Amino acid sequence: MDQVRFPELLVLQATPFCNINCSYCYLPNRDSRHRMSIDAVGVISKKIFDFFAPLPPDISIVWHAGEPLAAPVDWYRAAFAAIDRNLTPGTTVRYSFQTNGTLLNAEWIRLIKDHNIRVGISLDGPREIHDLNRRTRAGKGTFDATMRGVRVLQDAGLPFHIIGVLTKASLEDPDAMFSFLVENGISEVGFNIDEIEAENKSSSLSEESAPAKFVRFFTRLIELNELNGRPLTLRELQHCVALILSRPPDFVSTESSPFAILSVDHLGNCSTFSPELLGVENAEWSNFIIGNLLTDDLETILSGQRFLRLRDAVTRGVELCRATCEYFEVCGGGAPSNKFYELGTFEGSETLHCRLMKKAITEISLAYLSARYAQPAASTAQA
Amino acid sequence: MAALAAGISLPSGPAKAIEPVPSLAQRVNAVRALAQSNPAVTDELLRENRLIKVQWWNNWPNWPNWHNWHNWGNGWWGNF
Repeated sequence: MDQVRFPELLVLQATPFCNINCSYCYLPNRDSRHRMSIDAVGVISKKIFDFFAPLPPDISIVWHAGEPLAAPVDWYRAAFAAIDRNLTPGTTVRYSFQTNGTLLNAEWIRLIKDHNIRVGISLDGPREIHDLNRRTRAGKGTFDATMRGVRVLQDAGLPFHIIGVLTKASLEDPDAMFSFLVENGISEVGFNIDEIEAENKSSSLSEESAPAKFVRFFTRLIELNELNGRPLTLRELQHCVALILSRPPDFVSTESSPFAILSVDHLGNCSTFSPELLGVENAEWSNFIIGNLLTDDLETILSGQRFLRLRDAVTRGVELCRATCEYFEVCGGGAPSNKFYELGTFEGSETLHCRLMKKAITEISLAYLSARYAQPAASTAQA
Repeated sequence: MAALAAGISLPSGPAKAIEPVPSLAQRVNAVRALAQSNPAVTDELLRENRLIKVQWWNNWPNWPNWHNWHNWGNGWWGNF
């Protein structure tokens, strides 16, 4: 590869365990209560930092791939100290939790405040939507527990965002989604879709009418947002506006760029490209593991057959996108995990994820921007 | 021909040029041209979306250089 840079996104798995059991979850080992050892945190962070030195001034570590708050608060205090010992002067780490929020309490708030941790809550919307899929192992809805977590954050005055998974049911009522978010003081909102990935073998959005419903949903959400003074920041619109306005030359998506994302599981196994590739089982691709950061060094991993084979397959998929899809300019080659699980190969192009999250979002964003440019700026209009 | 065969009557009168649907690149470029010529609206969009220009990346060899604008402000992360 031409140049290896520090990953834009470093995902560490404190534990594969999750205290709930969402029906669309892609992770097969969420019953496992194993945890990354603090020694392993030290070894892994040192290897990564040494390899990518000099480090940029700000680096980002996301704790995910399992419920991060299923590991104790003290474990994180020890883990952060182990990471700090390996940092070079001039670099700071910003930690993030992507959590179901059900375990948040005053102790977690202290940790979050002490370390200025970013928090993302997985929340699908109103109770009747959220509880359709986000359930306990006993089959009970988790809406109340998640909203308790939201209140704990709000009462502490901590900013957070939510990421909701859109299913067929959620697309039916954008007005209810908008009201729910605004009435509950939620302003930063990202949406993923019910994706076909690993353990999640089918999607409620696979039917032919889904793209039209998806466009209607987002268009109405944006319309409501505009009519009400923009109380929401919508991640999908934000990302697409950035891409359209920024003229990125020769843009390849983060998920398709080698080592732009580095995911490390609790045993030190690592993978790159889509974070969803780590933690899933696939014999043909050695579970998409390219090496182990407790036993291998990164030079060896980068020259290893597992990484090179994965990189070459993903690159061929990206080149197919570049050659065949006019949305490549604002997409950069899609998501390898979606290609693999939908098409059976990395060397494919269009997926359901592309049709909704790339093509539809681009069209919605272009329409939105055209409408915005048809109006004077608010500052000009007021003058 | 297929339409004729199916008995569908075609519109009469002078032939009208069918406007080709603009490509995505053309539509993106049209919006980018609007962005250039309406800096006040563009500033507003960047501010609303907390897209801040990252000044230091140009000088940072190990950092992606394909973002002119990046929403570091609120720290979104990936598709999961």
